[in-house]
Amino acid sequence: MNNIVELKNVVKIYHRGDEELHPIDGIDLAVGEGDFVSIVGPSGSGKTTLLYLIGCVDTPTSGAVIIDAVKTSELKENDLARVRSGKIGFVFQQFFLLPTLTALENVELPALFSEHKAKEERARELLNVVGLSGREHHLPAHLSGGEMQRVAIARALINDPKLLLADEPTGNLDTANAEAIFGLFEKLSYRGLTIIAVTHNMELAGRAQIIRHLKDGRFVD
Amino acid sequence: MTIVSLAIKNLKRHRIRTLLTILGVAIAAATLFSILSFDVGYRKALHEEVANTGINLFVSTEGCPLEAASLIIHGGEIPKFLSMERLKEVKSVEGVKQAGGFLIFSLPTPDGSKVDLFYGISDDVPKLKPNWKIRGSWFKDENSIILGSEVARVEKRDVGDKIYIESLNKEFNVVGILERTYGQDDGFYYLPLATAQKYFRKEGKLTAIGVQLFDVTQLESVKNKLETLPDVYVVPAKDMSKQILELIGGTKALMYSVLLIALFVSGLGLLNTILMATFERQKEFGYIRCVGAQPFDVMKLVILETLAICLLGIVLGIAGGLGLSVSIEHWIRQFLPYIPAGRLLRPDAFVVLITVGATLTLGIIAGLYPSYRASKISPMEAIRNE
Repeated sequence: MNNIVELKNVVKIYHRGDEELHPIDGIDLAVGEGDFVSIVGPSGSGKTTLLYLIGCVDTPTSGAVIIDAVKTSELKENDLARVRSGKIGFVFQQFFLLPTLTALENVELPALFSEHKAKEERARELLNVVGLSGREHHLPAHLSGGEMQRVAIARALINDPKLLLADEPTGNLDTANAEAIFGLFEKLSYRGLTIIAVTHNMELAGRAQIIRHLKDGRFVD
Repeated sequence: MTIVSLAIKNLKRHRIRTLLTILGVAIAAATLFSILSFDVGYRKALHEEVANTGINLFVSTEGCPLEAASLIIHGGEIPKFLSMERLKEVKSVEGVKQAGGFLIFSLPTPDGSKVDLFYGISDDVPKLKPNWKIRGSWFKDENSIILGSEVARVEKRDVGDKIYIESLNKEFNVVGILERTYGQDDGFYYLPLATAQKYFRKEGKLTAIGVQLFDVTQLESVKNKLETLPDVYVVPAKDMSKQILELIGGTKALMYSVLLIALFVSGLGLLNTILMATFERQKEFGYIRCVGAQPFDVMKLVILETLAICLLGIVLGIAGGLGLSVSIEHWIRQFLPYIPAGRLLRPDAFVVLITVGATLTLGIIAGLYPSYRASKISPMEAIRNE
């Protein structure tokens, strides 16, 4: 099985005044195609920073990040944007739905900045996959929290990414909706999508195939 | 969905703010459109008026020849006079086709409420005024009077009526009405030259002489010949246009200053709106960058939003400029030292093109900084402080 994500001795150092912070301190990770990985750990353990590095939103101070055989740690910003557009889907705790766009248009949004321009049919299919068929023309203000997150998941999938990164995707949802979102991740993983989700919720994390525990910038399992 | 529809939807978030910004751009566009329409229209109207007089040269007595020429067209008194002998001499100069004498007088009405303008004209004058259309007939006798269309309307007189001129204590027979010229000619009382000379006690005197040539290419040579006559000043009609345009230069400078201020204020308003919209959406831009938008895509989105405001402002501004052209023209007329006949605001394709081009340029300049700022937002912004 091919590795979609490979991290080799990745270090990230920040400076806050004279203080040197190591939120990621020498991490090795390999995630295979179709894997569903949960990353858990206390606040400040480096979960989110790790997700940014994998998602090409941030670059490591040292070490190598390889996404779908592309060494992204050596790419410039424009090339990183192309990797994000073509290979990665993002889901955040705050849904980032544009308030003036309908659910359908929000799902289509990332396609505007990719090579695949016409995506309306695909957006409808994805809304159907996340169980929002019939809600295409609703504005975010008319959707519940769970529905908004499902729109955000459909949006993350519009460019057919190989990797879905979710940062506390259930942080703003009640238990039933949180369960539904992880159920959806299981379904997507079963279909071959690689998923890495960061969460505080150990019960939900347990639904992933692989759980990795992070503490002080290192895996402790 | 396209990036254009996305830009338009973004503008709908703050409808009132967007509307006010569009209005600011519309005012600037309308000002630009109106001033350019005036610039073009005034020049055309002036050239047409000078051409329509059929007069190639104006002859007056010593003094400012421009003033004399202007008064022949506009009406007004010149305190110095030419003798009737000069008219005969002018007619006899080689190259002169027609020459007509004018005696111009203004008299306040006894109640002082207005000033009546009288134009004593010789029988040659209609040949110098090819655009004149007279309903009724030419002067039949010394008691005849022809009324400018505006005078006829105000005095409620028609051909065949009588009119009592209180300031002259004399009743005249209205033999003709000059059809509307949309110029100053509409506001005059026209008397036979001899009658005017008699009632204004200027027998054998003329205010000025209008001259038409056989061949306008000979203008310089005929002018030189006319200038050999004693106490005579000659000004070519084409020089008059040029000098009048210089005369209104101050008014135009004032209008262009107003335009610059309008454009500057509108540009600042636009910059402020787009900059605010950019600051408000940092996380959104960060998210868009996160999902693969290049810095140029973000820049394009912001510039499109700016251009959408500009385009709507241009449409509204041009429509407003057209709709209010009558009122704008009426307003501008108050500040002009010389007003030619006909419409003063004459928009054409060139005016529209300059209005669109200049306003869009303003939009691009105003949108550059906010779009640059937006394009520099890092994808980290989307997820920071989650």
